[in-house]
Amino acid sequence: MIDLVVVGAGPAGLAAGACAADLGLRCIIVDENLQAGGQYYRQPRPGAPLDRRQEAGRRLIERAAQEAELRLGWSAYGLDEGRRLWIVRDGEVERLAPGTILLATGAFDRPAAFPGWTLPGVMTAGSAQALVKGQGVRPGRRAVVAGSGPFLLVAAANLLRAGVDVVEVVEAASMPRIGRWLPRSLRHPARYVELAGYVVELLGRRVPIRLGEMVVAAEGVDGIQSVRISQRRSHGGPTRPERRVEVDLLCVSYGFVASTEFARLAGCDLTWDNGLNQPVPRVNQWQETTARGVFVAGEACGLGGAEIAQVEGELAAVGAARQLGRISEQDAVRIAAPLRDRLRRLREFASLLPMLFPPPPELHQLASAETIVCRCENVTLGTVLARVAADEATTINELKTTTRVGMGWCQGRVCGSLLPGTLASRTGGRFDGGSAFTARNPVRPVPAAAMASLVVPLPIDVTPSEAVDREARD
Amino acid sequence: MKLSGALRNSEVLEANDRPQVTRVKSRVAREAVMLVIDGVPLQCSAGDTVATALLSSRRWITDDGVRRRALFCGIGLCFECVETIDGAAGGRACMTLVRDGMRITTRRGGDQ
Repeated sequence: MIDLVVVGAGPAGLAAGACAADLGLRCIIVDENLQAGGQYYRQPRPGAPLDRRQEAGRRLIERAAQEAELRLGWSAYGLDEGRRLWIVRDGEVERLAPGTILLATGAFDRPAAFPGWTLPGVMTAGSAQALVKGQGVRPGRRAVVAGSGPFLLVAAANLLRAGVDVVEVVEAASMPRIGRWLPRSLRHPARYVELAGYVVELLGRRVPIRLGEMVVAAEGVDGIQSVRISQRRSHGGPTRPERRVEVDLLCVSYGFVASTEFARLAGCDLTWDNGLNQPVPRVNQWQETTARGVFVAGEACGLGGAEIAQVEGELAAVGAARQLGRISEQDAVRIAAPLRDRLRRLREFASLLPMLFPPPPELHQLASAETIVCRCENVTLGTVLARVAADEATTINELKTTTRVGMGWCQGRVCGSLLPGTLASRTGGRFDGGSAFTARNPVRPVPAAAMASLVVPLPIDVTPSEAVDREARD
Repeated sequence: MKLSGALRNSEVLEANDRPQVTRVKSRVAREAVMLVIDGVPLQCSAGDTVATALLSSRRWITDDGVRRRALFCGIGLCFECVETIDGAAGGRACMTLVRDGMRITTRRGGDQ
């Protein structure tokens, strides 16, 4: 009998696994990547030297591998009503029926649609980071890193260290706003020193960090050749003219989107997260959702960073052990107390980030009618705007059948995280900016055979053929 | 270069297409691995993802005849880089490590 299945071998999932055996839990960690670590602790190729963060990650992975079973290369793709998790690797399917589940599915870069964003050479900052740190390659020769948030600095510094010519960092947040909130961040010296270190490194290498500006378009034929950079309208101070910068790489990051498909499938209550600008599963003091036995930790339940993720992961493991009776209530409370103290302090700093780097409203104005908004099905903004203007749709689900948005390979992960906000903003609120695609099994595209084995129970009295017969009779 | 209609395999390594990624020098010796992309052989290194292998020879991964696409999210969520790998559809180039003799059919690339 498995006590705990963890989905995701990033900081949160590994931290949970690393204390599993100690808590008396038989634990399996599943991750579709071939190496553990998630995005934050992404490991290099075998044999390549590790940087400091990767070394810390390596130690955590080794601890987790001692206390839990690591299943790498396995994609979790389904969650059924009996809280059973379906996993697949190379067409081979397995069903896990654990006592508890921890969803440590993390987050990915929030996509932004602007003219030219589908060109080769335009990628998320996370993608560039994975190429540099995981593959040991330079994702381009001349780069602009653009968007908003501290991750831009991290990505730019790593590109520089790999030998990419980073022409500039374009940060949408403006100096007045950063100036207003910076003093409060000084109360958290460790985080502040880390970020200041990146700024010093970039400026020392003569990489300008432009504030209050945005990349408004990428240009090129076969691949990106240049970007257009413009000052934000809301920016105070003197107006600078639009600039064009020649690049072969544009890395974009406007914050993150949590992967919440499994939590939504489990029917968990959601709550709005200011850091991610999206609903995330609501958790109690043990990281348990409103679906009993389903826990969430890390970015999947709110923007926080790797340190918070790890503490939440440990707390979730304690919560699981407590619920399964592997440890006494008294022990659970005793172990959890210092973890909760640390979380309180860490979350204080994390809560400042949305104040420093709020999503710029101009983001919704960048796409033109010809700009593709659903990358899988090549649907343009003009097409979906026409449907909304014709009163055919007020939610993203309603757009799906008439325009094919969200029906492609990515299952709406990309367009679903940018379209609702953009359409609400572009139609004066006629569209529901809070609407989301319904989460459905399978959560990943799987071979038909794998899908067939994930039995979806039908209502007993109406089988499909009977329903058709009755329709025919009527 | 102007795109007109579908691309031919002979155009895959055209000089106009500078590779998107270049390798950072490493002291670790890497074993050479041969792939077959839409019928054309391509040499890369053990430990490469299929995406790295492709992008170290050109700027794009897939082509629907109108638009070329490369990596977007790079971490397995956007499925922009899906290809048929050794006969299995839906393989993510960014998540799949190369194996010697691996046969890759890019989207539309193999239709010609």
